Amino acid sequence: MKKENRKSIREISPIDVYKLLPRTNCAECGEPNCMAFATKVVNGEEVIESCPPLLESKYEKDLKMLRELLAPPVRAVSIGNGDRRIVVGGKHVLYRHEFTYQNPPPIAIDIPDDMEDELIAARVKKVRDFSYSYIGRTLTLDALAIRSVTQNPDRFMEVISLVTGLCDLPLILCSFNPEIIRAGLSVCSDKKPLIFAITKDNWREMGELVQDHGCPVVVSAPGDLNLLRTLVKTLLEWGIEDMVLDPGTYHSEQIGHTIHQFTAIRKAAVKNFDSLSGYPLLGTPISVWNGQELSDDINRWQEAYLASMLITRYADLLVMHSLEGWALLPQLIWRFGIYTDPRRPVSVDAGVRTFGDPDKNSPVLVTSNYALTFFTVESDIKAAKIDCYLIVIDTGGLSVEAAVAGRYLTASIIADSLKEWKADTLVNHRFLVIPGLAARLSGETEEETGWRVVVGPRDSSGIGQMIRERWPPVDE
Amino acid sequence: MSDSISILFQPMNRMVAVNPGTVVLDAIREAGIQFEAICGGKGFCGKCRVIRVSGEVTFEGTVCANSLTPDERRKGYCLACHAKVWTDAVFTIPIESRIDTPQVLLDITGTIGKIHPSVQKFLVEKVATGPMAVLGPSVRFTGYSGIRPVMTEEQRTLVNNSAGLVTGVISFTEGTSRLIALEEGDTTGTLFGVAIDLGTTTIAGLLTDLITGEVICRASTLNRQITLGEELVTRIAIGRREEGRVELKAAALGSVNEVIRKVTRDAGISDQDINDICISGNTVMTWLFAGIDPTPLEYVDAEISHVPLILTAGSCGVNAPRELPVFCLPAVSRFVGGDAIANVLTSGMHKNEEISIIIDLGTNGEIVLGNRDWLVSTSCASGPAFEGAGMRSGMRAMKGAIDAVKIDNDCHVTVRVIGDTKPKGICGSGIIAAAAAMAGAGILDFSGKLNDDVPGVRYGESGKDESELEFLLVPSQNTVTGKDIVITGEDMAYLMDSKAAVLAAITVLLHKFRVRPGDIRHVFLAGALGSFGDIEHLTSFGVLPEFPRADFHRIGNGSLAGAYACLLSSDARIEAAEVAKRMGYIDLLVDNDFIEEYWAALRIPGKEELFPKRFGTWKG
Repeated sequence: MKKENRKSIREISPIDVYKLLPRTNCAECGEPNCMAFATKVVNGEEVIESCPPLLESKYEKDLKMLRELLAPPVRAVSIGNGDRRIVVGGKHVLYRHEFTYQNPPPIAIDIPDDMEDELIAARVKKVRDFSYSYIGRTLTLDALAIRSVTQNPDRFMEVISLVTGLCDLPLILCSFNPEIIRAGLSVCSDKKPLIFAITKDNWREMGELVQDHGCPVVVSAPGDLNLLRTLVKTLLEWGIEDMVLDPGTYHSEQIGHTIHQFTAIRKAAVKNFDSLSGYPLLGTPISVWNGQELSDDINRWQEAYLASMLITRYADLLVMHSLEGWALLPQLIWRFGIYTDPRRPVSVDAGVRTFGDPDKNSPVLVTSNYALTFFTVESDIKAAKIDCYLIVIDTGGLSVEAAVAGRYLTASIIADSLKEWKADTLVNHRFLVIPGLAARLSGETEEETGWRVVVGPRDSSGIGQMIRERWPPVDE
Repeated sequence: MSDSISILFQPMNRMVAVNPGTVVLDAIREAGIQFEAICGGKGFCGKCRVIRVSGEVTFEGTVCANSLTPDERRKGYCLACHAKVWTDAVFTIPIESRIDTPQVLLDITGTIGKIHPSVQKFLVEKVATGPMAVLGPSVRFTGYSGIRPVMTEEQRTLVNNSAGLVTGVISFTEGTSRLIALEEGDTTGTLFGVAIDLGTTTIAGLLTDLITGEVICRASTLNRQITLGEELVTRIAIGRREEGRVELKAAALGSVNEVIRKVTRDAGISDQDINDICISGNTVMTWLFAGIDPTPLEYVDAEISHVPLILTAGSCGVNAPRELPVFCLPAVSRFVGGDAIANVLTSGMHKNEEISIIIDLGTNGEIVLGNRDWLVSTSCASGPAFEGAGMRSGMRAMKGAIDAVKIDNDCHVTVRVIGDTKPKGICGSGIIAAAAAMAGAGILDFSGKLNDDVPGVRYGESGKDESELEFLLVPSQNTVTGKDIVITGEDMAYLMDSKAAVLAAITVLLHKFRVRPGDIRHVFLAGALGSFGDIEHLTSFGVLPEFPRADFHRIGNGSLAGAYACLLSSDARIEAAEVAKRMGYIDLLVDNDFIEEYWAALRIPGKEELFPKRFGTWKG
């Protein structure tokens, strides 16, 4: 598609997509009609390939045009296969608030082939088993970068086999020597590893190798953007499309320059639809270890903050060396944070909140975890100076009214929450106060929980008066 | 044996016998009196005021304390929903609780193309000769060469036993042909159709000559479902129970049959002379009319069929020949129903390549955007302020309602009243006019709050809360009720809420499809406010954004016009089904953009980019 015709995801209208669909309104995609499907596609909630009629040969031209229309300006590159396959790139916008960021940058930990086998095994296991529970999600590390330090192809193959025997994490094979890469690929080509890297010195041989095996490849030209572009252009002419760019990661006084380069490339891709810039960016904070610094701790520290900065500014994949929890955990949590969808409503954590000094006879209230709802209810309860328990239920961040209509707040969900937060240990009575806007759930809730339901006010400002006048409820 | 007590309601002089302990509101419904009970009897709205003249009454709950002043209670005022009567009693229903001569929409604009109804008449021939004669006479229709229509045994017997001429009425709805009625004599010169707009508040109808397309006469009545619950949500809740469904269906049916009675009487025909019926209503109304359980409509993921419902007059209880198929325009989503499709047909936007928008502001707001290539819609809760409910001096648009307001630089107020009488209250269009005027005169600040240092704005003298601000529109000596007509701070809060919802809904729909207000060439306004509301006021107050390149059209009662179109043209029915099938729908309830736009719309008029002329940024 011509550059002039490219539109950013914010400019693409569902109508643009709709006009290219078969418009049979057959509902095979699961949506009520084609307009509904088109809307979901533009929102990033559906892919164009979910439309069965579109995949028929008579719509080939439309499918091609749709793919071009919807293609992100930064190509999505797949590495590895199976359950642990990772996708890097696939970015639509510069700023998160313009849409959302997709495909959080995977973090690869290096395995140098000059390490002893037992140490390698221990290191692989540590990466494989790294896991941290955070707001109901499990944060993990994502890949392994096997580096040929010995320059020995046999050793390289040995280490790769050792690693693949221990885990199925995607791999990055690191060497500038095509012979070594060839050897490595001979034992793991089916795992679709990322090859690091093509340079101006090896591009012909490495390029052929990569094409033969159909693997994605890093194009590396540290500190030379023009060279990077030339290499990309050449490889494109050869028919190589799955590329990752390495403009060079520098630290210390050169951090600013690094960030600037990453930003320039990303902007060119997203704002100007520059095709030579439209590829994922590789950040290598591991490079601090090549510097003059002798202290391990300082290196770890520099690597850690460089990684965070690169996550913020456009790195789509990172290679790191440090395995310290304090160095890695911030990256995972930071990455998680900025890759949450800003279009989803802000929510608070589910759980029990205590107000004042409640005892076994105090009221138990429930509400949704939409931030606005929660803070309003919290403020009203505090203003009314009531001693009570408030159970915040995970309704996907929706307000009470929306959650009831959208079936994110139901009698079953309330029952599950009471169990999860052990509400029956909080108080001796079995009266539950539900929001007035969830009144229609009262009968079913009583059946599912075995508690008696007291319907509260529709507006939380009435909680104070309600509790004062109607608590404790008179048993009939 | 009577344990029962008698209640007399004045001034309508209606008496009804009930059991002791009956809630007064129920007694009023029993007596068939049209009465304000907006919240359906739950004690929220405070509008069901009656005056106890005699009889023993007890009260439930503390609701009375909030809605009536001590002075009023001394005079015998109480809320009918919370009063139980135990002995023979007399009640006066005061003027503000009565409903009379509401201003309903009987205008239809829009033209129909070729007249091609779904029903036709042919003379019946009994053919006693020919090879099959041994089996008895066969029935043929003079001039008819289509598929043999389905006939019942009863119909066959009638034909065989008839002496003189008989005319058969054949309907082509549903793809098959069916004999729906037999008329004595040669009646092929007449063909009658009834179109009904099944509104949430009002049911309007017309009788049309299906040969010429002429509208013979029209009528309307209030939807009796109102006394069961004003809002759709209330009615859905009632409809979840079987008894509730039966009540709701009977109420709607009663009003529909009343409209049929009126138009047939005015035209001098019988209801058995009706040959076709089309009904247009929103999804909830249509389902309740058909007796379908409305519970799924409470949920966002409800699957709504886009196929038009076709009922028979006999099965739904409509006063017309039993076999007559009643065509109900199809729905798109739980809140965008046949009436929105009808608006589309009336506007013709689905045949025009220019982009149009239909904005229907009534009890709920429905918005349809698009052109002949694509159509999308959304809905929002635009009431109750636009209907006059929830406002201190609010009332429905009827005789006695202020519907226009002017305020000069000295804050002097001039009002126009429907029916040219002394005002009783203020209706939707009047409220918008008042808000626009108050904003213009500096009585309201940018967020819609009353400024207390402006003449006419004072602290609550008219009841409840003395710390509440209010603006005096008409002093008591000039009103029918003998009370000041005011706009209070709380009224303005409700109104800003309604206005923000509508503006946000329009903005979100435009935004989602990357359409700018300047891209729109036609704006069609429908519904009560759409037909009578002043467009300038709606824009300056910020209910609607500016549409700088658009022509405005008022399509009046688009719902009724669409039903009329479907009577005259079977093509219109196919178009209706096709439009419903392909129209996209955005549900705002779970939409993040809507929340943001709503907050931004809580000022007068709203975001700068929606009002470029007002803010001087319009580049033509």
